[in-house]
Amino acid sequence: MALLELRQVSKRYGNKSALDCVDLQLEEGRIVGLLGPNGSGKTTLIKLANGLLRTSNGAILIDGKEPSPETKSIVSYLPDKDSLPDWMKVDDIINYYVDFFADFDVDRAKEMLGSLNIDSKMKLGKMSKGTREKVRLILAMARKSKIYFLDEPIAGVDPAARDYILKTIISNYEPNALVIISTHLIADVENVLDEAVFLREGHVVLHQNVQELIEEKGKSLDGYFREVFAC
Amino acid sequence: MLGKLIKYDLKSMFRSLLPVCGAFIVVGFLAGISFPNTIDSDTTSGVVLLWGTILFALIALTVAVSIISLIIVITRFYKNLLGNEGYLSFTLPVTTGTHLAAKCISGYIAFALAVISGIISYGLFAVFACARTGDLDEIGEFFNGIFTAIAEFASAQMHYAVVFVLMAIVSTIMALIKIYFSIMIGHQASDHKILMSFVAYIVITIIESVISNIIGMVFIGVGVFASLFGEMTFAFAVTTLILNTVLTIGYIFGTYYLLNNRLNLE
Repeated sequence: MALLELRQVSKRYGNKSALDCVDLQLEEGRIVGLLGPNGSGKTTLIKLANGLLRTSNGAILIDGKEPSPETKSIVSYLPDKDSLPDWMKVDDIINYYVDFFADFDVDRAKEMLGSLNIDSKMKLGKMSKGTREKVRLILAMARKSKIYFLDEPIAGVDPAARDYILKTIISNYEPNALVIISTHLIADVENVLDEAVFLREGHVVLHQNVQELIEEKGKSLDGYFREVFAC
Repeated sequence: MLGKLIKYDLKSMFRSLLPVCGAFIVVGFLAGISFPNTIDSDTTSGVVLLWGTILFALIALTVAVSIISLIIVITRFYKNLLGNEGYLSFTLPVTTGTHLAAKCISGYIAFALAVISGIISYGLFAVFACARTGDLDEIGEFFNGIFTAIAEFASAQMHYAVVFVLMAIVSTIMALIKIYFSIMIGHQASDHKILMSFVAYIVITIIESVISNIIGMVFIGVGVFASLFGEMTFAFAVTTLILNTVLTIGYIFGTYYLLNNRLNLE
């Protein structure tokens, strides 16, 4: 059984279709790139899987179940929006995660924060953007989840921070988990991806193993993406 | 999970609310202990001016605590569920119903804190002011008189007393959930969400008044004049209680439905 399954999923906002009859099955133990230009439906798909939106048609299943508190307990989500409360200190947000997520590994989180010399008494609102992004990522990756959704995890940070983020992702996720990275910065992530899903205007136009795709097309994933989505 | 949600709601709200309520209590105490025990030609203008200033601060804080507690409760609901924090809140393994229940309970605790701080503040003012003027016994008699009157009314008109108590409970629940419902209606707008929330609140309030006046007209003849002269039959009181209960249940289900099915975080 696929860990994430979309069956004829559509999501409409008035007359506009953000996703249109999407079928997709993703298995465990893979790192999948959800790739597409702005407005292609990547974030909508992720929000549907996390129960933040309701489908207009079709069904979305996480480990065979519709989005619910039960699925949320096995899904770790790093949104593209900064969702952490400004007023909390690092210690406070760690306690928050411990309180609500049974799969949160507090020792792993503290180890990662310590390796970056992040002061646990510091208020989140007083941190630089780059440091906050790292804290958000650490909190997401310190969960021993079955599915990780990382929406634009490296956008808006410097290249050194991007390397740290990608290294943290591949060295901290649960081995049998499904990791879905949504991004338009393909060149930076293609080396870590097992599979690629291309989305265009709410439709899946490609779902293939990255290595096979590179050998077949004779170019990098980023190069092929630019070809497919050329304006 | 409900308790944990309430805990974090209160942690967030108390950061701003506790200092204001604390100041309110302190100023009430200061107004009491600075109360001029006599005002005559020997009383210095400085003493009267000081007390007057503190009294002004007390009145200002009374208004401020009311407004600030309302803003804090509304802001907590909006930011934690409909703002960027919503991406964290709604990915917790918690049902929408639990989120709504937490916001209702924590909202009431915040309002209750504001009311209690007012009671303590004015209580301290009265007690210490009376102590300075030597009228402490009279305060005891005053409150004793009030409690006795309430007890006598309740025992003589038990059915009215029960309805009034139930109406107080329902009205307070209704006041808060109406605000949340209005916020959720405003959230459906594509633009100017906060403005549309205010509009929704005004429209809902107008509809409530119209329904209430129609019921008043049915029972008493001319609803508006009846309420001006304070006439009220027991049947009208019960009908109003039932109406408010139905509206409250409607607002709860409406808020739940919109949160569960029409959430659209930016």
